[in-house]
Amino acid sequence: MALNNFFFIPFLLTVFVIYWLSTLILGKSKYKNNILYLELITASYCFIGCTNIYFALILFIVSLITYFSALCIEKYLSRRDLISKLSILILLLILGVFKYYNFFIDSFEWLTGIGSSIKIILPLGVSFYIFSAISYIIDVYRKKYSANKSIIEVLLFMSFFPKLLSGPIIKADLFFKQITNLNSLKWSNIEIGIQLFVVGFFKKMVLANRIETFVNDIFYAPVAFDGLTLLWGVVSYSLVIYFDFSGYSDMAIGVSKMFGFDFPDNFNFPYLAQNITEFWKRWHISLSSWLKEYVYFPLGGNREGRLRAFVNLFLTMLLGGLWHGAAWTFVVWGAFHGLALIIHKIFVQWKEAKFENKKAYSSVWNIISVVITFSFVTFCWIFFKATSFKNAAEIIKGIFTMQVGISQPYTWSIFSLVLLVIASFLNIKISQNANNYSGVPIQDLSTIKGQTIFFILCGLTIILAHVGNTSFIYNFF
Amino acid sequence: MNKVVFVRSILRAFFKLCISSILAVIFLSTVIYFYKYTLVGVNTNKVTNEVYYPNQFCSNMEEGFAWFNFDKNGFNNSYPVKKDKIDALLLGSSQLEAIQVKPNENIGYLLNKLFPDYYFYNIGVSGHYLPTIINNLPYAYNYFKPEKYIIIEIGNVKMELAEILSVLDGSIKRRVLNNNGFYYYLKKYLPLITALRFKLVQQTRLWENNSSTIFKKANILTYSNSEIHKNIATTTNNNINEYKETLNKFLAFARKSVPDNITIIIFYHPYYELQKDGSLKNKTDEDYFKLFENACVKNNIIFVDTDNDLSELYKTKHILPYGFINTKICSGHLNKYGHEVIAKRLAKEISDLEGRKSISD
Repeated sequence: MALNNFFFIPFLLTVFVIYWLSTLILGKSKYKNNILYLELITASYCFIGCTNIYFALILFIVSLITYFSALCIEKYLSRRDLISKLSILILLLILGVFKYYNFFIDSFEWLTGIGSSIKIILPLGVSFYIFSAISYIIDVYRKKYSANKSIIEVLLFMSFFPKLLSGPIIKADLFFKQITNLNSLKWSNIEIGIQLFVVGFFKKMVLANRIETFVNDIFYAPVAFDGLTLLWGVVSYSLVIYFDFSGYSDMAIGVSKMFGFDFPDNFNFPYLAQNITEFWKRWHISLSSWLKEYVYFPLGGNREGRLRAFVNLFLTMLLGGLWHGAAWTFVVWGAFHGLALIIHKIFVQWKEAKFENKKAYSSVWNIISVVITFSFVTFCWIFFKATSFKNAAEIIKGIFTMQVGISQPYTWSIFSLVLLVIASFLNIKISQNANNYSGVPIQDLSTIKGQTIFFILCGLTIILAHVGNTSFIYNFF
Repeated sequence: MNKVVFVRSILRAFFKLCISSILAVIFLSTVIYFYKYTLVGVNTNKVTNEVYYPNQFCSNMEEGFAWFNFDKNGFNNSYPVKKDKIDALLLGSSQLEAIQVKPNENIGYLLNKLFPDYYFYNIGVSGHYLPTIINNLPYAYNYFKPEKYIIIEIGNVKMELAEILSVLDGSIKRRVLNNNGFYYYLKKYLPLITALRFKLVQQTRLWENNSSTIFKKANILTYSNSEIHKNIATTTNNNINEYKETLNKFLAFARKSVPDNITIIIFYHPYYELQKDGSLKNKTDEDYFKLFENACVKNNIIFVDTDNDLSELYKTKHILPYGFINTKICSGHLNKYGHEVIAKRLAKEISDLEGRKSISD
């Protein structure tokens, strides 16, 4: 079940009502917390199990491995190295088998002509919960915090349904700190959570789904379209992937908030980034932080010289690319970002050496920087979306040769772009005056104004929603 | 005292909720009035199963962009009335109804423009495919009494055998719409209700059809809005001879529904699929196409296939006859280019029939 599934809202309502009644009935019972956790675990396993019961089984196995590994690391201090490495290896093996088996088999077949007819279905959310598990094991190994003795809490950390399929990748210490506060539901949390959920739903169902129709047409038969339409299609994909994933994140963070969890933002207007380094601080923040902490730093970070730092950066982005999907196009996408990050770092170092007196940039230069960064990111998305290198090459060739073909100035993309530009300006303006502004203007639902705006947003989401088989892009990563 | 405070706070919250709901409904209804507003009622004279309300405003930004008023009979005819009598009556589905294009861009309007001496009257209504049209044809003819032509639009040559038989034995059912009284006013002044209902129906249909594949990666050609409308027969008609015979009887019934001096023209516009190599694939079932064409000839009905005209439009100008700048390409309804090409083709056919100099160029 995805968060935009037909049944998710009744499912969420049921879980929420049961949870709320439990908090009332259990009062100050000493079993209250565990019962509430068990309810959420049951809901989470129903959530994933209704798609495929094996997905729930895999999640359970991974959770058990994580739980016992962390305990063993703490208990057997002399063998903690071995245990942590072994457990991470097992987790990576599980991820590798489910996510990359088909990829390697296809690559092997392409090279040797020998193929296999066995195909493995990717369990939903596997990349996300395995990354969560790895971060927990490494943190326990690094003694950042101690292993959690409660299996119920670890099971909940691994399976909590709003973040299960596409994150955000939450760190265990943050999660465990927050579950102790789940005693009662607070109206202030519900008020914020429900609004985040609806805004996310609007981004996904209205904007992302509508534009995706056009983008799919473009990437399906690029030779049929004219150069400008291809360019518009590629820009549109930048919008699709942003609205799709940030929409999911808003929904996940919103639902979590309703239950009392305070998860950090996963997106912060990434297309306002003035350089690629800043982009990665604004885009899929939980993944980029994860890669930095658990891949880049262990590789050596920038501690072992400039050249090594660049290699580490490149490798991190390459892995980041491969994490997104089992295809060479994702590897190239990661490589482009890795190279861009290196070039930007060299540029910054050169600039600092050349101009010791830092001059403030003019707003025109800032806008040019935003446009250049957006253009580069958009170019890279071609490889992210393309089904093959041939597909990507057809699009790039079509754009640069300004080929003739179907012209389609798709209006939903224009509408979405205008909306994003307005939201970005508002974000700049509001964030100057308010701290911790998440990009979603939260209304006070106790006022007539707040309720009216909220109802209008709900209504517009339903009326304008695209009804079709479009699931979240990141559900497949 | 606490009770009084509690009751008051509840009442205050309820009052706020009512006010905000009313404000939101007013706002959303206004948006819908300009975004997608269609109000269909029952056609009591049986010319068509349903009809729009007389002089009703219609807006459509869901597929294409169009805002206009239906005529006094509830059909899409914006060309000024030329004379008392109608020369040609156009019957068809939503493709002919054409609420996706501007009122001066549809086939009916363009034909009126191309033939200043003829009055073409369009009674195309959404969901009216050939069996329904033929079933209504006697009523339509008697009501409008066109003097020269009956022009029927079809986008599908393959029909369900059972459906054709139901026309012949009179068992075909008319849709019953509960659109009178309170419900009518509710829909008229609160179009939000219709819009929400429509979305719910769409979502339910999708869930029923495809719930198991909701998690599969969206495939470009697996689903489109048009699939709901096209009424493409999915069952194989096992006995082709029986189908052929029934089709002949069916078209003979159509022919007998109107006097012999009235020419019946059926024009066919095939649906296409854009291929990976950029070519257009005609989705017509060739066998059924031949059967249909032969049955038309046998029953003295002129069959016009617009495939060449529509595909030529793509080959020479890279323009697709279906789809809009706010929908999936090559899908859904005819756009203004499709309407124009078909209107010109029909004008050519009529000119050829009457030995006129072709006016379509």
